[in-house]
Amino acid sequence: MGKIKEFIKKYKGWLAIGMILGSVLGVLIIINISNNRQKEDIKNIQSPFYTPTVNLNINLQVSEPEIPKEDKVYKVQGDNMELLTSILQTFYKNEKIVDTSKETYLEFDRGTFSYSPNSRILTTSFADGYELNSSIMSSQEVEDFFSSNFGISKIKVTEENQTGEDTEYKGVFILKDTEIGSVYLEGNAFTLRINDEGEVSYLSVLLLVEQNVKEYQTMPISQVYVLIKNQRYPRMLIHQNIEDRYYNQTPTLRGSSVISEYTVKEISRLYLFNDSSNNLVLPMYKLEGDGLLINSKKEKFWSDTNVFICAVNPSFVVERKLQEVFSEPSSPERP
Amino acid sequence: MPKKRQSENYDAIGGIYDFLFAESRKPKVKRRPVKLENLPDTTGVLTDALVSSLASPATFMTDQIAREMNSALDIKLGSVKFEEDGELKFTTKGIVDLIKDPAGFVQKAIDDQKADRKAARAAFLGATMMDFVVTGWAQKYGNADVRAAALANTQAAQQSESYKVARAMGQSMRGGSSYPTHFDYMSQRSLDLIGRQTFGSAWETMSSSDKSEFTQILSGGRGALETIGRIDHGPAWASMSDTQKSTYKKSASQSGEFSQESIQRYLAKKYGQNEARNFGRVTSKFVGGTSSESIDILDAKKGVKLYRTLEKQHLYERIGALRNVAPGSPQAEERRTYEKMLLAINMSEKTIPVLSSEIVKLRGQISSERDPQKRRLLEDKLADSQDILKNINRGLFASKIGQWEGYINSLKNVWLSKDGTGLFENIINGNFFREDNNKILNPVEQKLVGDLKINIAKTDKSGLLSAYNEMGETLYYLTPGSLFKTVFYNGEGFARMAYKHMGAVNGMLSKSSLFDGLKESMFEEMMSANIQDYGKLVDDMMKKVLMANKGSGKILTQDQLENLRKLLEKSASFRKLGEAFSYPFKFQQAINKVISNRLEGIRRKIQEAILNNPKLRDLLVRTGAEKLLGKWVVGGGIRVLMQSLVTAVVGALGMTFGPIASAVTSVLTYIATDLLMKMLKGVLVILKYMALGIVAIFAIVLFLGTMIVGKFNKTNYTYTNVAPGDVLICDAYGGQPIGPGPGEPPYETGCIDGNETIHEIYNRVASEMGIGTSLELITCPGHDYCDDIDWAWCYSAGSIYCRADRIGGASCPTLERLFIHELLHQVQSRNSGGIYGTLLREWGADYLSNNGGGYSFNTAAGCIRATETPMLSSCDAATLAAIAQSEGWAYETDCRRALSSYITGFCSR
Repeated sequence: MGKIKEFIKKYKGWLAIGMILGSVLGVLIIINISNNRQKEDIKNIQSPFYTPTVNLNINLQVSEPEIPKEDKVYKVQGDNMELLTSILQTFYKNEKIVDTSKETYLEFDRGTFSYSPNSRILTTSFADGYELNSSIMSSQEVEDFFSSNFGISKIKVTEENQTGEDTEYKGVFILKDTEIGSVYLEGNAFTLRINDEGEVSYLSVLLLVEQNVKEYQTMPISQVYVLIKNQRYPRMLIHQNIEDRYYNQTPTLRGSSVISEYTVKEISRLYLFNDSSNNLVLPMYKLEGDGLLINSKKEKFWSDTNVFICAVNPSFVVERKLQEVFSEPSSPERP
Repeated sequence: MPKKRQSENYDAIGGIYDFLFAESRKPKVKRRPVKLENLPDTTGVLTDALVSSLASPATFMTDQIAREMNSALDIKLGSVKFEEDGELKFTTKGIVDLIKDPAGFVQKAIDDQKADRKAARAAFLGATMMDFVVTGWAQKYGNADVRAAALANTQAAQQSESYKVARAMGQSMRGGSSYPTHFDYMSQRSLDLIGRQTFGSAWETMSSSDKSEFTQILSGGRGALETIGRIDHGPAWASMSDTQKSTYKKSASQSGEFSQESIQRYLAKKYGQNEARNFGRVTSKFVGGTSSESIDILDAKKGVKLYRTLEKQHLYERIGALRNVAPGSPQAEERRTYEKMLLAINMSEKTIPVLSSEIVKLRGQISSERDPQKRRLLEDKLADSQDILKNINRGLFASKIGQWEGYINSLKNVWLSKDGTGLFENIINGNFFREDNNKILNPVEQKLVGDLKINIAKTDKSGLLSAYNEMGETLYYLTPGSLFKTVFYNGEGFARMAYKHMGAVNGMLSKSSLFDGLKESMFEEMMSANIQDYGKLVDDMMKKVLMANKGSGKILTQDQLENLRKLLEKSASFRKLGEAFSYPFKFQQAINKVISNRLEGIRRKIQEAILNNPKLRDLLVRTGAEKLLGKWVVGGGIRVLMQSLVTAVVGALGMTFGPIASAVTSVLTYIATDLLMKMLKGVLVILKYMALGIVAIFAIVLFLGTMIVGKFNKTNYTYTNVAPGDVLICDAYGGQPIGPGPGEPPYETGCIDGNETIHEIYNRVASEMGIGTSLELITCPGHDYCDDIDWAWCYSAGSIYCRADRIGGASCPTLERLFIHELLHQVQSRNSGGIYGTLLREWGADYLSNNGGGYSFNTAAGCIRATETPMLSSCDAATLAAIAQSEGWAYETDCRRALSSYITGFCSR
């Protein structure tokens, strides 16, 4: 015992330094292990969009929104057969079982009813309006409409426009405390048009309910400027409007038009469902801006275009390949 | 004295082998070590370990090695399977026992089997518990409700049928089984549901011969090929040779089961397009979009998925039909039963949170509901949900029993054996690394390299466990048993090194997702069996990597690419070494294969004998049990044979069982199996003497035969005496020139009726469309894309590839339309082609190219060309053109959906 005490006394300085270094090293190792484990825990996801075959130079002329380091990704499960069948029954008094594995398009005297399993979007329109138990006159009644017919308890109306005698409501669903929409509905979850009598004349809605959406994982996200450095970063381009003369071209010339420049006027970060191939609700950027299209005769056309880009850090995103397109043989009629 | 010169054909491996065994026989002090001097520059623990073994033979030549050697030399001559795990093996080592006392030999196997069965009872109980629970649950309602629910419109609303439905549901809940007997009721129910959805109400009134024929085709039963072939080929079938029939069978089926495509053809020809379409719809999810994929209703994964989809669809239909019935009416009760069945079929661990939250929600709704009628409905729903949740929990608890039994056995027999001192021994003899012996912290799992299964470290998220697994893997390959196997039996140590090097290749290619598909396919190729030319394989792989690297913006530097090549070359070298050192294993495999094929032939004859009884055949076909019999022919297993017969008999007698029916069936099958094995004992005693006689005759014939054949060969085949290396030329081909193929493709060939060349037309069209993609004319065979083009003229990929022989004689307008079609595919992929799908893309390219692709499309109005598409009410010309070019905005339009509903597929006219 005496020898130990003597040893400690003699080397107490070195022992103290050793203990401090040891503790620091220990903490560093623990942090490192914890970081690695976190990284390993994240599963890669498939890109929601295909890699484009042409370059696009995107000019950011607006400041980027503040973003967290990580964001939630949701998985969509289950199909809509029951819900769809019940909506069809409610709206059109039709007993048909909707087969959610394929495209549905039904025409009735009163209107049309269509559903795309890929985008999970239901669209229906009524020539003379669909009368509700209580007319829709305000945003609150829009929420009641979705609650009673679609089982959605919370929505947020993002736009309310007057078009002629109709009022158009656009908005997102609040599922799992997250505002969720679709790429194909400009980032919204619904477009609802109400005629002057408070009846539904048109509805396009993303069919997602609370039970369909599960938290999948948290993933690191990147800023827009990082993502668009790659001029072929996977994206979805949706032209909202192009100059009239663009539509007057022959189909061949229209097909030759390529967007070559794009100037961003607004950026928003949204949670969007893209399609059923990977069934994910992902954090995405919606860029709104002006595009410049050029055809093979070098004629130029301006467009209002939305560009959707997945916000997830690219190192966790696996490419979605356009395999099918490149493997389709064709056989012309023999001369 | 001068040393004798070593022969140039000196057998190096044999030399090492002789040395080790010669040294091991000497007393320790006289053992001669090899001097470890002037060794080649070797790295790696495996090489070190091998060299050390040579340096110290005493440490290498142990009892364990002797056991490994015995095992390596023990060739399996055949086996009789009892069921999944148990089999009676006939091996060269055991053949002496078999000849000496056949009855004892079989009795020992029966006793062992009984002991195994006893030991595995908990595991068996766990694996089948979900089956019991669901069957029991469904049967509970079966007497009153299920009969009506699941069989609503069928004519056979009998208790036996309701039991079958309950069993089918139960079987589909089994976890982890891949054994066909576990799915007999389920497959029978699938057959019935497919029939009902394919033929509608006609299924119930269909003649029994037609029903049997359809069942036989769907289950790939005996005689199905004849039926389907006769309908597909008409009268020509009768005159087709066996080879032609066999080729047809290969194209129409996979391992006995027919593809969706071929069954649809059969239905269209025999019954009509509606039935074919219905069948396609019913089975589309099952085949995952590939109509050439076969439909195996007994498959552990796909068969279960198919059954559950069919049953759910059936229940949804019934629920939908009763949507508007009056509350409290008998029909409302019936609907409730369907809903309960739907809940039951969705039973799984994953549904627990959904159900729990549903229960909380329902409680809330009940407390706030004032309307007594609605309140009662909610209360019923709550009771059903609670009942299902209780049953799921019961099933899950029981299913864990088998898992824990495995852990306890591992602890007892491996980790704590011999009072805790046996662990080291278990590591040395390899038991520690075997999955069936050790389920606790077993560091390795088996991976396939060529035909050989080798041990590779398991991957784990925890860094510590990963390191432990890696260490365990290395330890395994340094055990005496593995070293022996590496050098003298199967070359597993070399195979492992090949695997590891490919792992390093994967690591390098993980830098970009662009390498994703490629790295997996390269790994698979390098690990595949029967590689002819490793040098070419490495070259081809490097070419692909270089191409992908170009596409990824050269993410790999030149140095990294060189390292990658080195890794690939090393992996290839180890594969070659592994093959060179695995001849004994391959020889053993080859013998096993020959014997196994022979046994399959014998089983086939037994099957034919059973099916020759018309009554039994009819029963087997009708109940789908013939499929089980077919499985037995392919895989063996007396239990499969017994159960196929039991299924047929139970189905025929309409017997009803309680929830423990599957246990009773299992026990009955065990008893029948044992009885059969005991009969085998008697047969074997007789066979013993017969076999001795046959061996004697065979020896005499062989001796005489060798002499006669030798004499015959000497007289007739003199070329066998030609010295190796000489080339003999057959005079008949003397004048034939040997030169290149048809030559360069005809880019400058002019088209018919015009002045332009192929290239000029292409360039003009591409320029108008503003596309820079080049045209490449290819000559087939010989080009990589020949397989892709096959029957077509062109193929749109990175370039537009067209077959020179096909477009060479085309007219100018045809070529122009064709090129527009192909270039439109480029436009589509530039837009949002990916989301539109093949059908609409081909329609679009044809629509805007005046049918340049020559496709026809199936629609409600018949088979039409794209340009014949009418203007659908929700469409206009601009939207149709946008859809044809796969523009993003046009996807979510009513016009696109209407078009997708209108065009249902390709057709020919």
